[in-house]
Amino acid sequence: MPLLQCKGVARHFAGLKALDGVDMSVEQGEILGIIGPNGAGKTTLFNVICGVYPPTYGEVLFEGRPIHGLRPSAVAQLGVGRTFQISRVFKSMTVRENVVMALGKKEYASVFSALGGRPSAADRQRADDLLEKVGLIQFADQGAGEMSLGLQRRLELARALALRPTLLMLDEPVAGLSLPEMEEFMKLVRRVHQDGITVVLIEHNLHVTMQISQRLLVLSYGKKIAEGTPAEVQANPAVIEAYLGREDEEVAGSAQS
Amino acid sequence: MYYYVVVGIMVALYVTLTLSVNIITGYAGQPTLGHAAFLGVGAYTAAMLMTKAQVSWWLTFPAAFATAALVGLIVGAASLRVRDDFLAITTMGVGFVVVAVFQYVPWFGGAMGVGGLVPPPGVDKYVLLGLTIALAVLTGLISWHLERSWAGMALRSVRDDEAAAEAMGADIRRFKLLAFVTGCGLAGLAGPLYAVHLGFVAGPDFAFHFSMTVLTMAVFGGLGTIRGAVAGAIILGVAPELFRFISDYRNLVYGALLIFMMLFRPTGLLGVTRLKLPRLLGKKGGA
Repeated sequence: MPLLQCKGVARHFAGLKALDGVDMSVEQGEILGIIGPNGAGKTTLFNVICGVYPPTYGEVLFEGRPIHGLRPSAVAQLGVGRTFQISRVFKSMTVRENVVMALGKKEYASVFSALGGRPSAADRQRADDLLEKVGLIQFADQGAGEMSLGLQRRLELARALALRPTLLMLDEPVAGLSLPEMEEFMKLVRRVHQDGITVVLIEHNLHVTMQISQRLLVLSYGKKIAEGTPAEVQANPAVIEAYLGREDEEVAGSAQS
Repeated sequence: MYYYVVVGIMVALYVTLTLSVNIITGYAGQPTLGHAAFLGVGAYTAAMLMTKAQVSWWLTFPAAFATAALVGLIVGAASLRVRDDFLAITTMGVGFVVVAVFQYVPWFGGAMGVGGLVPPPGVDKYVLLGLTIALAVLTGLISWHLERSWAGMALRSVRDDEAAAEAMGADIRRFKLLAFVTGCGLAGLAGPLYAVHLGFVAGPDFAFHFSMTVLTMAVFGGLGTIRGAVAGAIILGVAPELFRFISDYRNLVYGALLIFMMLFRPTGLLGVTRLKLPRLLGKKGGA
């Protein structure tokens, strides 16, 4: 049984078919990259899986159970951790508090359990361990909002890991990062994957995605146009067309960019 | 001496109200411009029970809490649909509606309000001062517990970023409701004290102006902290007594203070968070 399955997932926004019948399955323990040109529907697919909006049609199964229509918090409770394309760290908290907050996942399941307990020294220790892992321990007491984008991305990763996810969803994790920062981040993702966490990432940067992903899924205009190993996808004419345009459109295409 | 006791009662009530608005606006980041209405709900609950049903004053406390918390639950439910500036307008509207109901429904005494509210024998102004301080301390302890609990963590995350809070497994609807019910309930709990302190209740006493006073205290002292709420309530509660000569211009001074704090120290004297009213205050980039 695949860990995550999307069956004919569609999402329409007032006539715009952001997603138009996407089938996808993610196997336990793999790294799947989702690529595609701007506006292909990558983030929409992410948001549908994570419960930000329900699919217009189709279903999403996690560990065989339907999760479409659940709230993002319920999806998180089931073991899906995510990061955001635009950094969404808790700015008024310290770096450590950001991670501690995520460690309370089980307590947030009910208001009463959330009122009954408080973060312990063990939670702070666990948060520090995670910060150590992503290389942010020296910033633990700093305000999260004051950090550079690269460090905020790593903090988001630590926070997602604090949820003890089975599936980690990364939405353009290296967008806007410098080359060394990118490599550093991808090293982290590999390490997380080695710990047995299944990873799905959206990435604009083809080079990075090709390197890290075992399998790729290509979206264009809300549809899946290709799927396979990086080598297979790279050689697929439909993918080349989606990214570069057809040969007879080449002049028009380069004039646009 | 009596004068100081009377001022002390009002200041202790302000502390309770400021702490309770801090739970909603400070911890959870949900602006509310109708908080005094919940004091009104509590005060009227006590007044009606005492005059219409001859219920003992002491028994009106749980009723005042429950009624205010229930109305808070309804307003909280509205807060699930609207955010920031829209929520500010919505809560302002709730305040107007509550005051209007008290003022125009004859059963509530109409424009004359409800008078003749006397505390039970043995409760003089000194005892009343003790009780109002006890309530302020209780509200402080509840805030203190809330702040340190997982629920407090969840509320702060809702204030900072709702989408991220959800992604961490916190259902933001429940936590917003928790903040509204607790904050409004505690404001209602101050109602019976307020009612017998003044001896009568009238709708306009709980109007927008009072809500703004309480919010100004919280913002001035510093949103999101207990020390800020207490400091704001005490400083702005005592100041008009010390500066009698400016008492006619009290609203002017409060308004100016609020603008001044927003511009130069948005986190307040001792606070950690800003009041989220971007569009109302014309922040750059706002529509």
